[in-house]
Amino acid sequence: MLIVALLVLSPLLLIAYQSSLNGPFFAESSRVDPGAWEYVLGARQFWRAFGTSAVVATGMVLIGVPLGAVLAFIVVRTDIPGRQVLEPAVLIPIFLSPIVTAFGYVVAIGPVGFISLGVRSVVGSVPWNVYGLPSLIVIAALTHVPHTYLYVSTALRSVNPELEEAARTLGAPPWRVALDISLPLVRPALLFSASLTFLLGFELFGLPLVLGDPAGLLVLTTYLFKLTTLLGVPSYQMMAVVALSIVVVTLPLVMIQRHLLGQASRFQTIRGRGLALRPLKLGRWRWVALTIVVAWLLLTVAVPLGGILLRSVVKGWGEGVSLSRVLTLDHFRGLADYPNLIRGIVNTIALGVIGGAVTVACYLVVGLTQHRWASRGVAVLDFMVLIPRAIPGLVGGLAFLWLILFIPVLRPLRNSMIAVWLAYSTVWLAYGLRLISTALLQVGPELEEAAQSAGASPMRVRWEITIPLVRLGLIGSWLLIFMMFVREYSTGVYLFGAGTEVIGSLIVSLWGAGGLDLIAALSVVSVAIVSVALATALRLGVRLHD
Amino acid sequence: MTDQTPILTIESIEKSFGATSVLQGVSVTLHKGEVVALLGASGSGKTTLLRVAGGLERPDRGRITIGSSVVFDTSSGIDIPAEGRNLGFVFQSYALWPHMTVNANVGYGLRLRGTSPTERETRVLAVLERLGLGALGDRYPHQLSGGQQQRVALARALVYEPPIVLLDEPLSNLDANLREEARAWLRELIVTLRLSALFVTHDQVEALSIADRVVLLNRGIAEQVGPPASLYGDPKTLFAATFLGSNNVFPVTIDPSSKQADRTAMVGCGPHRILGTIRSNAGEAPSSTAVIRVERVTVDPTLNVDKNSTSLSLPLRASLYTGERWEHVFDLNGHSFRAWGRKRLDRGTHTVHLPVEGVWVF
Repeated sequence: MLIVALLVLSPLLLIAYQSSLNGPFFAESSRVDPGAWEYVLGARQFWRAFGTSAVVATGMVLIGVPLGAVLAFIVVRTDIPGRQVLEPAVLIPIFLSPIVTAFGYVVAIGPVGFISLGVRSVVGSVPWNVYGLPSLIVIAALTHVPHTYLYVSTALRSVNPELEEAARTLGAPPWRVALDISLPLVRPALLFSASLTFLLGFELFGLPLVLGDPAGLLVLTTYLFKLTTLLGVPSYQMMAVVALSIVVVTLPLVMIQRHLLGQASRFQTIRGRGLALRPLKLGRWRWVALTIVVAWLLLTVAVPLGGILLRSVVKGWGEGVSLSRVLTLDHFRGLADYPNLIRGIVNTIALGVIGGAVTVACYLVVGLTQHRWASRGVAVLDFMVLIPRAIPGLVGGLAFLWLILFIPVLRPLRNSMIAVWLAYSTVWLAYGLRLISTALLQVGPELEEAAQSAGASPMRVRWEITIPLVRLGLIGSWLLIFMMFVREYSTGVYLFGAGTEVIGSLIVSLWGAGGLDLIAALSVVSVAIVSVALATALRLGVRLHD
Repeated sequence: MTDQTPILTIESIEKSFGATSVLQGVSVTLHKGEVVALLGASGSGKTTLLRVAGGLERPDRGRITIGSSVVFDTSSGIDIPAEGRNLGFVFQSYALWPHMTVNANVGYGLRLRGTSPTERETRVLAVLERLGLGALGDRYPHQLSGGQQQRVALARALVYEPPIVLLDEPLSNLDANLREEARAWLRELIVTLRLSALFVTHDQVEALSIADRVVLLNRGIAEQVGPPASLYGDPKTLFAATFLGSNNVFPVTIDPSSKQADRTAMVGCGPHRILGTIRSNAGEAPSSTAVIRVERVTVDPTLNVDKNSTSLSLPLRASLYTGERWEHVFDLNGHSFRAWGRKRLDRGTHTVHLPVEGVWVF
């Protein structure tokens, strides 16, 4: 528990401390000085970035939450054709690296993207621009729909179908049932999804980096990332102020979510258990519903994935180029020519497989401490693990870099995968712990009590009863953490260096150098790794959500 | 068989969950070789009391002694955890560990006690044989029927020979016809193994038939404690009288002038008057409640209303065939009044007989 506190609180405290100085925290000459705050809060660019973040986050809520709710209703509560396939498909965007997705959109609908060129050859011009605020909002909203879907679908599953059937018998068509009955019943989940989407909007990094930057559009995270370039010198205190100003927005959101989650679970316990899930008969509306879901899947999954896949096997693309003549596997072969690229791929996989397993083991220890043990210490712990949720990966990574510079014993970790792993594990703590505690809660309390009555000490109960029973849940958690670690990028931005590169960081540095061929190949590799994990997870029957 | 040495003493247990007080000072004593049932409706606190005894729930106040050692006492701060109490606990859901075979499940308590593998094998086999599960040791719990699972759960709690066995609704998960069989089987097993057992049930037939003594719980207090026959035949309170058996219950007024030394008195319900026995001090109030077990009512068309006031003339509302008998429903001043018989009754008014010692006035 002390270790958790240390991991969670020290980065935040260090950032707060740094923000009040007039120089780097490790420099002797640094004094407490509000200058950094005055400067940043007086900078027009900061406020523009802040405003953009707010607009993007709001837009994501306005588009993503209603769409996610509708998708959840269609997939969970109706007899839409192909439900078995659609259910896992809807969650795919969660597991895709935002950098890869963003790049996929660029090669598909960018100025010279496959689809753009196709459209131009028919209409004469491209009626959209992938760079800029509107497309950033739309793409961010579309790719964050699964988050709403997750929470709303879970809530919808607990709604008694008779409540909906009653409305049907009174003459309500399916869409009225959704609007009047089902969705109001899951209001806590909707509110939670809205606040979560808003939070994620503020933490967005990969998408605005690729889609906003070329248009000169900065959000808070990319502003923080670019600060050194903008000022010409690395300015620790300014970075700290920007980082802290992001947390000031996100922390209250996390508190609100915690409150909402408590309400939502109260909401659910009122209803009985063991409800048979009878899907709503849609009749002729089935195809309308299917069209909505498929259209979203096409836009959010097929377009970017198709884009990178196609781009990775062609030499070049332009008007009048015929596909058969440019087909090639050279880009993949090309990866082998660069040792750093191969190392990046190996690092990514190792981080996911080994790092993920160690992380799950660590989370399990914390989870078992919390498990059925209602002391005040646990309440504090429960609260503390929420803090990382409020810290965007980028800020968390920065804080870890500073910690490593600050604490002499940690200094050897600089430029090591251990530092990256530590940062990842902390940033994903809340997510991972929820996975673990969900698995632990599926063990009936009487199974543990029976062992206790037979004479087993609490340690033995956990070792011989609880852990063996959650084996599958632990494997599932490991797969999910693996996918998160493979897709994660922003947390490591400040920690990557020569020897510790991962696929995400390589894409970003290649993006700066214009190496489109290699980016496409790397992206496909990244997607392939995630696909293997996802397929394994589905095969094992791992629940992709709680 | 039952000697008077207390093996489990539960004293003045109080327990609340938040604002709801579940146990309000319950005391129960279990003697060596005795079977005691905790009987009550849902919410009466019976399962909580059992879990308190087993150390799975911590009471707010009270004292628990097993044998001669105190395992819980709020006044001296003693609280031995469940694993230190050396009890056998059989869970309502059986709680068999799905990742262990029957042998591993049953042998677990012995493993914890450091028994050697060979001895463990012998003892597990012995207890499985005793419970008729001899050949099932290598199976996993999900490969067993409900009745077999129940016996494995019992075997797991018995194998290390705990001085006391606690059973939470041991038969409730069995099919109805299996349950009747298991009743006799469980009673026989407990008696032949000379176990001391405390078990929880909401089924009065189960409690009355298996237990030596029954503790009737009502909203966290022990309403009445006694052997099954006295609980059924001599209830001390209106609750105890109406909780057990099938009853006719109706409001009456007591005629004070008719009171006799033997506590009999004339009671009235509308135009009807009948001789009853006043059962409690509450019966001194002018408005009371009369309880008559349905099986004590007889319908005899050959007799007229007698002068001893032990019969009533009542109009028949309906005669229902329930398979094993006919149930006649009469009208008693607007209240339904039931009697059992072997034949269907014709419409009209009939004479029903109520023995004075069977008309309880509370």
